[in-house]
Amino acid sequence: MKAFASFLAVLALAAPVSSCAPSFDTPPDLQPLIQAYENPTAVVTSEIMAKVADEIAKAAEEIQNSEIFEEILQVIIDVQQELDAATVKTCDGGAMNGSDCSVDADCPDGTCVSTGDIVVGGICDGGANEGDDCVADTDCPDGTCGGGVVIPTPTGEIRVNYICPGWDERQFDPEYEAEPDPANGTITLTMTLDSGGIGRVVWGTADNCLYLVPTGRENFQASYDGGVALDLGDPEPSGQDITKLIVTFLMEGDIGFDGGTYRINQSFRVTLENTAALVILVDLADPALSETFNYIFGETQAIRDATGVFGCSLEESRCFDESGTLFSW
Amino acid sequence: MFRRIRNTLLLVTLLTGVTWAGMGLQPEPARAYHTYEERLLDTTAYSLKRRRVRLGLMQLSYGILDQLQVTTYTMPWLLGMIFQDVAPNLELKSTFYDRKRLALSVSAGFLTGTILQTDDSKVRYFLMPIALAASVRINSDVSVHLGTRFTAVTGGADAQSGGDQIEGALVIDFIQLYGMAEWRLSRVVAFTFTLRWVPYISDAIVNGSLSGTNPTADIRLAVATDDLKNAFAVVPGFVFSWERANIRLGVGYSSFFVDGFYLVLPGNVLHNVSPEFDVFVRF
Repeated sequence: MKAFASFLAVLALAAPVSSCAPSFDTPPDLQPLIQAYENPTAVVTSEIMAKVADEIAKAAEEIQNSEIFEEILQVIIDVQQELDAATVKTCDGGAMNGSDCSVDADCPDGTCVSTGDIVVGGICDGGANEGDDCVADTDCPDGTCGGGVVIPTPTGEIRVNYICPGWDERQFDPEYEAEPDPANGTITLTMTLDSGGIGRVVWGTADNCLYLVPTGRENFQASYDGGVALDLGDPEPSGQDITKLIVTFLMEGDIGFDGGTYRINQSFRVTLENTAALVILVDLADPALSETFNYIFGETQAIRDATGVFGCSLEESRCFDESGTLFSW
Repeated sequence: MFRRIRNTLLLVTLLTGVTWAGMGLQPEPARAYHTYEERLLDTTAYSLKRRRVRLGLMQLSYGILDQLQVTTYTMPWLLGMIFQDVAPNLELKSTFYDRKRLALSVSAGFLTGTILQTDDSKVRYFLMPIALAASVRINSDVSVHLGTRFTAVTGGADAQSGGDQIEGALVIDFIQLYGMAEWRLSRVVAFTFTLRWVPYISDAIVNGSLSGTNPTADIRLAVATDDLKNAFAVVPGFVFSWERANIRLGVGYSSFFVDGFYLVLPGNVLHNVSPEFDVFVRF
């Protein structure tokens, strides 16, 4: 009996033991969407264009005017910069091969590359940057970097909550320091992390996010309320310039611009480096993505369908190739 | 700083004094030596009998019942003081079956503490080990002991960096299997050969949050623990047992299984030297 009682006493002490098994959110599968861009299946005709031309024009106008993709990509760029600053880098090649570095200049005849390891909580001790965050001694001239914890090649996810800037015109004043106000709405994004860099798929929601779209003459009030998923392309290594990437968006929600509201349920491709170059994925059939083509905006307009690429003009309501008009609507 | 050193020295002196005082006590009818009644306690299914005490450099134990022993490890207290905060720990061990040649035990405990970092941030840790062990007396000289221990490790930290408030938590689970052969060469000397192996260790799951700036972030990471997967140690050693005094001594190869902390250090940390040591009295 005593043996049984002692057994129970030990088990009672062990009862609180619990295991937190890792459970990460699964990114949305955007591969079918990517495939639809790469391999359009529709054969575009005048009848088809007569049905969808206005929708394409309206979607393109709202996307380009609202610049919602810029607001979202800027959040991702901020996170990437933070990650890049926390990533351990070493010289690849040259006289300093294998040594810690911050920039290529630290590696004569070599390059400074990421190891994928992340340092959290490193602080400069002594030197010009005393008390600043650091990853390696090279971040602390005349001092040392200490106190940090190295997380070796982590994988996982980051959920970012960004409070939107709102419609206050003073935000463009360099002297003005705005306090984030949740009343301006939020953008919540989930990113996967792999080898110190952001994974290719990012997803989340915007909750009535208010922001201003500056133009040369005036600032337009814009908003977005809805879901978003995007594909950055190939797995995103630390340090790659997101502004140069062709990003595939899938958005479903309400775009507000200059007092009007537009319901969007659309995929498009854009690059921050040239926002005029916009590609709209036109989905014609049910089930989704079973019959698609690309409508391409840029210096000229074009369609890419199952037959190939040919020119088009929504303003002139016609499509054409080198030999002349193919069809009109 | 001096106060910390003084406290540390005081604790070491106290422990050493208690140990040697126990050794010097007038002997009662011999309870020590390697006898049928006096069994090894470490890495076995045996526990102290009722009202029996073990005082040592590495651990202090007391027999609450014939089948239930309570232990606290000294090193976490000592190192906890050095790092500015004690590390309370307690382990209950129940030898719930001990008949003929077979003994079975279950044990569970906890270890918790806080480490202050140089930047004034705090790292908190909490470990909960659960172990099952079996001991088989093959004959009067030879015994075999087998066991398994599951350890759940959680930790947390918070820090202020510029305008950012950083909080984090860590979780690791691992299982250790161990076996020990014991050969009593005389009533004073027993040779032991211990094998330890970590067949499973989870990735370290790190949950963190970054607040105070815009944007804020919640981070959930999995960090590979490849250095500890299949960690093992082979440790030959001896246990010397006199009337009251006992010395446990062993030096082995590969990873270091840290007594009292329930943790494993990869072999490269101590150049593949895996030590075992304790000096204690039983009465």
